[in-house]
Amino acid sequence: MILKLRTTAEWLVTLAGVLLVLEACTRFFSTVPESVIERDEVIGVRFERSLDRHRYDAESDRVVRLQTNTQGFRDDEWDREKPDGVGRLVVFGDSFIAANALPRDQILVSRLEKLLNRRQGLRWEAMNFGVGGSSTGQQLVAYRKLASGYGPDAVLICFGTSSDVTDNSSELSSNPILRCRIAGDGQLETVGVTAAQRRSSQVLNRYSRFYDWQKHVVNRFVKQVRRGVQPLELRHRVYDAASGPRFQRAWELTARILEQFRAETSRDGVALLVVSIPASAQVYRDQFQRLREQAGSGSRMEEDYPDTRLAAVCRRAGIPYLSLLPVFRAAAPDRDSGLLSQRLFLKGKGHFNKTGHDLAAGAIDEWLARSKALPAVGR
Amino acid sequence: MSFTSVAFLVFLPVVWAIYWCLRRREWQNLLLVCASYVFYGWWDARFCVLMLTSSLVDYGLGLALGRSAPDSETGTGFRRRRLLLALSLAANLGLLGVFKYFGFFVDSFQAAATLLGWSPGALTLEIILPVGISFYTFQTLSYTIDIYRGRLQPTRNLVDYLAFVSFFPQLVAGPIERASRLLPQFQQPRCWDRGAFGEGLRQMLWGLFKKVVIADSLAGPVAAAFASPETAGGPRLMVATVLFAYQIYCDFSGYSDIAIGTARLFGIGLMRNFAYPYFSQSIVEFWQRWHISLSTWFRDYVYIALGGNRGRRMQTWRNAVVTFLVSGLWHGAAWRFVAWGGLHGVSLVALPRPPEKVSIDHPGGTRLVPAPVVLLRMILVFTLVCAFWVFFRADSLADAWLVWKKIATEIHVAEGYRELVLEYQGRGPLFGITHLLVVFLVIEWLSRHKPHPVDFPGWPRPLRWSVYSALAWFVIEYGGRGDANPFIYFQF
Repeated sequence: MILKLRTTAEWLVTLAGVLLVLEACTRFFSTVPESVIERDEVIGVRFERSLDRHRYDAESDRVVRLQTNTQGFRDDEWDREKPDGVGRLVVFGDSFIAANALPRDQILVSRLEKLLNRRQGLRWEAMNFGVGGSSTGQQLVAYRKLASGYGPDAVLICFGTSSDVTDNSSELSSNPILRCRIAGDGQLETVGVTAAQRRSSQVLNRYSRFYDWQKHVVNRFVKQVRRGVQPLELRHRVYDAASGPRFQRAWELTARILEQFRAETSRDGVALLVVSIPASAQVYRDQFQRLREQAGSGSRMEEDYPDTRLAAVCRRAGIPYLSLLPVFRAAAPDRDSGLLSQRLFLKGKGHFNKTGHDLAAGAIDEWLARSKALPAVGR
Repeated sequence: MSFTSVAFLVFLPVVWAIYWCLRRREWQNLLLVCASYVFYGWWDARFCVLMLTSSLVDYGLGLALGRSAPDSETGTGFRRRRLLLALSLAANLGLLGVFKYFGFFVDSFQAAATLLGWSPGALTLEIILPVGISFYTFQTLSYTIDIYRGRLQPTRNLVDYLAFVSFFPQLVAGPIERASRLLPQFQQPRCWDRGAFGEGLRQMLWGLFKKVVIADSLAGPVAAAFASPETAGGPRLMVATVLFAYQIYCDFSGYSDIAIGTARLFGIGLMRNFAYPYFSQSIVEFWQRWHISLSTWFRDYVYIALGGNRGRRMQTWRNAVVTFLVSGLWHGAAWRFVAWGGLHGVSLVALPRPPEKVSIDHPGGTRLVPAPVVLLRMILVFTLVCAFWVFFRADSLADAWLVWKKIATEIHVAEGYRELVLEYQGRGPLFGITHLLVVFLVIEWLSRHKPHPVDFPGWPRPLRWSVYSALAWFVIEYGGRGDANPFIYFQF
């Protein structure tokens, strides 16, 4: 009995020692960036609140100051009361919009706000609700639970064509995030992150760098194994016009979410707009050719397929829609990711770089002015 | 399939689990053969055909050699045996000649012809170099030579033989095993041994650490300096040469450790391939500690075949130099490898050896702090080995000569050192690498009496496991940084 207890105690001490060593190794030597995103049972995901940290970003290879407001978004503090003469534009999106790799004054939402306010007699506040891993379903919930409380005049959904369709679907993505689904009675319902999940994740995220590191490592490993079995990443099947029923269901779900979004914003008297955020593979032919090769025969890979499909969804729902693809392709006329002078994405393949953000903001501003899609407020 | 790939991470446990579920050694061997061909075919399925052909030829010739007993009266048996051996040599060396040296011979012939004023028509043939061909052809060659010499009985069991040739842990970069050592292990039942299993895992862990953490970290700065020796300063080239010495050591000995460790998981013992070579006090000792399986192969089948040290001193020297020239050519189909081998051969015969014989288990002696003369000898040998590595690493003979020249002429230029110090102070790549190497050197020195450092008998469990987990953490962290390089010796 005593021997058994001793052995158990020895193993417990070993476990504690191992965990301590691993924690120390991660803290002192790891280059995996610390996660700053936390699960939230109300709106799915958001950044840690009131964050002010300098953080190395491997994608842009620079240290970026990351500041968040008390709501956990990369923006200034928002006032519940909307000042007179100010229009509020809520911008939803994923990591392309949060844009952790760049300083705040260089990212799409800040650039857009500047451009909007340049027009005489208008004052707009562009509110950045972008956060990595966010899906359209989560954005709908975030609108209901949080953004609508700030009295927005317009909502702009920046739809990431490379990931949002898969992120919306629990069949295509296994991330434990808040999601919408079509219930048996045909109604849209929300499946949330449980409070327990949130708490454990939050505590471990906050106090253990190793916890964060192992998540990163496991994800990377799973991705590599999957790539070994199926060279084309599942999310890239979004370009396959002949993709199976799971993608068809994901598109139906996305359409339902956008219709619901449209219904709820209309009810609140808020304009809803959708902009598609292009992926680098849609802009650069060499990258898309690689995807085509990975997809193999039997697939019908089309660069414009997600945009065409999204345009149809928006048309049916009566939502003004802009595809940024033509603008991006015009800015990279050779459509070759190897040409540094035509780079619009970090390292040619990731998120937007500064030029990409400028280009997107300019195109959206021009579209808003031309189409008069924004309500006439703020005068 | 590389040891550092995700595919291997899945492959190994699956093969290992099935292997120990199979009780009969025949089935285990068959599994190993199948798994080894999958492992090898992962690069290119066509390579498997080549290896199978080479194996079958030597299997058949081995049986034929076994059947043809020499008759000392008529002399017929001797001639037949010599013919069979010649066939084996022709088949294996022919394979190497076509797949590894064809381009080299054609280029050298054309260059020589041009020098003599004759311009032969261009002959180019795109031949892929099959991974590890130099290793398994040498292994099968040793099989037929040993049968010819009467040191080994040929096996009739084809599966056992194929397992010996293709055993995946050592297939592509050694250690080059002798049939007399490895084949009997496949002919005997293997028992599960927990201790051997743990030991295997520990050695694998250390091998992975050397390869993924150290060798791959050094690869970048080394490649940058050697890519353009004309623009790099002398001090930088000197540092890059030293870094390369450690890169190739950690890369290759790391591979060997993983191979030996993996083999142990299957109850198979492989020979030691490295024994702390940079603590050698002479070039002779260096070659007793570096790539031991190859140097003993060349000693037994080339040096001794040439006459070894049986003749006059000059003949012995000639035999040594020729052996090293051939060894250089074995490493790569280029004149710089021949030069590298030649330099080692000449220095081996020309330089004095230390008076006292050093035990393989105690490089640098048994003292914690080496005697000044021992330290001096170790530094001199290391310097010489580094100077020779330049020929191994440079892209051409001309580049190697340029590196030598720049190091020699710019060694006193302060500006070059200032640049390096600034890079270190600015926490550039040199900063991490320097610390890593210092720690590595201390670990190696303190554990030089053991086959590998990750062996702590008597340490309490929490401490041992903490070290294992720290090493594993470094392997995973560095392995994920995306700067992984293929094992250097795969190209040979």
